[in-house]
Amino acid sequence: MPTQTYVPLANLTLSSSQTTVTFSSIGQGYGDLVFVFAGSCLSGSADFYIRLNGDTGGNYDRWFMQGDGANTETFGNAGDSPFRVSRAVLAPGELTNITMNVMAYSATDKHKTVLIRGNNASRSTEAYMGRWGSSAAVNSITLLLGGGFSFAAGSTFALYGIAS
Amino acid sequence: MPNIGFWATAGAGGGAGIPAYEHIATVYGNSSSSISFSSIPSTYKHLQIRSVAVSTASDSQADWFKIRFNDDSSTTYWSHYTQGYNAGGGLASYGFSLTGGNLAAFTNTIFNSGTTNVSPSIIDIVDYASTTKNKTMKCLSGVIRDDAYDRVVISSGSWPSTAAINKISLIVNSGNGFASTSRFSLYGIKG
Repeated sequence: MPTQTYVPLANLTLSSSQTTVTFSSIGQGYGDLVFVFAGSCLSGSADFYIRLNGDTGGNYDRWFMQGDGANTETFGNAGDSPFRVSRAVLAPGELTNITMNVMAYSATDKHKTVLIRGNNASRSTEAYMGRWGSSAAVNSITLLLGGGFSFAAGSTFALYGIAS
Repeated sequence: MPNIGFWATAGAGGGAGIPAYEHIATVYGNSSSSISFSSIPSTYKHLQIRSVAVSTASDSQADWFKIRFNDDSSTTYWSHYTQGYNAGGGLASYGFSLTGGNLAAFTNTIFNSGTTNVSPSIIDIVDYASTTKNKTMKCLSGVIRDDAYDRVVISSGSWPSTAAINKISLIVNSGNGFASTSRFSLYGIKG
């Protein structure tokens, strides 16, 4: 039987609005993780936050570039808490999709890096690199929105493991 | 709040279909200035390289790795990239060719600021086994140097050859090596 390489680990579609979603107890048997989100928020206009292993410290650095049809922008800052996708934001009635690659997530000899593409066709497209300044293996991923806003019902969250 | 504690068993939830995305090989850095994937089968439609890389350079030298196909060191390769710097100096965009047959590896700059810092990249090589079209690539990558030159990069490249790709070499530009915390994984995508 062929060995699966791109393995679906979890898949969630919200039946009602929620403020956070957490993938926990992530197995360590893969090389990279891929997270895919498609959805919107219930109200407001919200940045998309990604927290690893429940770390609420200022251990997240990010660099991104984006274009919104009128302007381009590049930005980087250190010491965020947590990763923040802040241009391809979520808004009611608009579909935002975010794909995040967590590279070498199970390694314990290097910091963790993420490569993200964020897109909201009504607002912006964004390319993003982040670093979580920890050599711990990633065992949980928490998704939440800024400002205490909620993910809208129907938003989907999927996590895949890529074998290596 | 949904808390999805879950399983991590290979094949779980995958159904009975034939996998379309297959792991071909993984190579780790060993201080050598190059790593290669050889004897790549032609049975896939596309290839993807997923990597985290850091140089063995002992100083603050910036470095990058290049990509060579089928040991071709005579053809001119082309590359374009757009990058966003940490310095906030605006987007920068470049295009260039490299003679001597070394594709500028999409500015996959790697930098030794301690081996815990690695620069990630995902490289897609489209229709690699075709014998009727030139080869093209795209990449999303980043550079971590812990200075104003940290950046995120989107890039593309071409190798103007209709030969099927059967070997890919990744070569540190400076002649320094890939540190042991570097990892390069090659995947085949069926189509």
